[in-house]
Amino acid sequence: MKTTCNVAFSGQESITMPNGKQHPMYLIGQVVSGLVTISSSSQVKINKITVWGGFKVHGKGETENFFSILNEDDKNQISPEKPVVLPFSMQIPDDGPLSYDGECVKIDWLIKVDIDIPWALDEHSYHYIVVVPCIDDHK
Amino acid sequence: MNILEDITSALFGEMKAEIRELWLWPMTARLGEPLRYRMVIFPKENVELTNIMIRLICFERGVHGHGKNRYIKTYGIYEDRRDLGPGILTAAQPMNLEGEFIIPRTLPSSFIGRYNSIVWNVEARLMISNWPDVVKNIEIKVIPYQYPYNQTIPENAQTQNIVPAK
Repeated sequence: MKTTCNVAFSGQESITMPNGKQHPMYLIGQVVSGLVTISSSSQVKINKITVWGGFKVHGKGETENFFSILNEDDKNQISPEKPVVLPFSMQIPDDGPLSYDGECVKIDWLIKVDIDIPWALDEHSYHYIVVVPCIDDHK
Repeated sequence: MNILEDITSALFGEMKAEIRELWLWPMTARLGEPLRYRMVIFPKENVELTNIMIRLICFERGVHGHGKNRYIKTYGIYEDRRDLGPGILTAAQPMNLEGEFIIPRTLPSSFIGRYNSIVWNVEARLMISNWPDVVKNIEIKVIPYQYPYNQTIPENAQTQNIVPAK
């Protein structure tokens, strides 16, 4: 990986998953916002950075439903001295679906960052969030 | 009339009773809110019932395998069942049953994927002694709980030009 991508979600409660990882927790219909910070240890030329938001259904016939929330093609390079910082914001649709982990259905909401690097493999990073119907019941 | 009813009537003759109406309101239910039902049972003759049951179920439905080995498997998530117990219905005297289910707000909402889905269903069943059950199923759509939360996207938010993913 030529770059490192971090996403800081703005002031949000988090939930600890059974695997011990912590993910920010959002209500259905709520606005997900934060900052994407992309840094690198050396100078890297880039074509475009795209931030996607949406959900992914795992299992047979894996389906994704992502929409572009940010399309940044002004930045030409990332250098160690000057990381790229991009604010983003996305509203979770009122009709869901909710995050779910069952026997044969698994729905994950995530923020996906794609970095288009010329003459190299594009880099992708995934940042999971949990969408719940009501926070009180999940504390 | 579906295939099951065709076979049943061929084997046993006319059904002794039928569920003439299964009315649900709202058809698009919301988690955390009530789902009302009304069932009208019409006995064609005097019928002895072992049970009248209506239940709200939520389950995962997954398609497994390929081709000839393709099969559908379901996994139960939730069941709310009302049993009225045994009784005798008099011929040509319809019976009305009304009630409501409260859908817990922490359950998953309906989801229809390409192969996997989360399905919400209401099943009404008349269990007639020494006779096949009379069953009526209605699939409903359940949408997420509406949290009293009124945050809207700020005007300066960078969410313009939302385009579908490739």
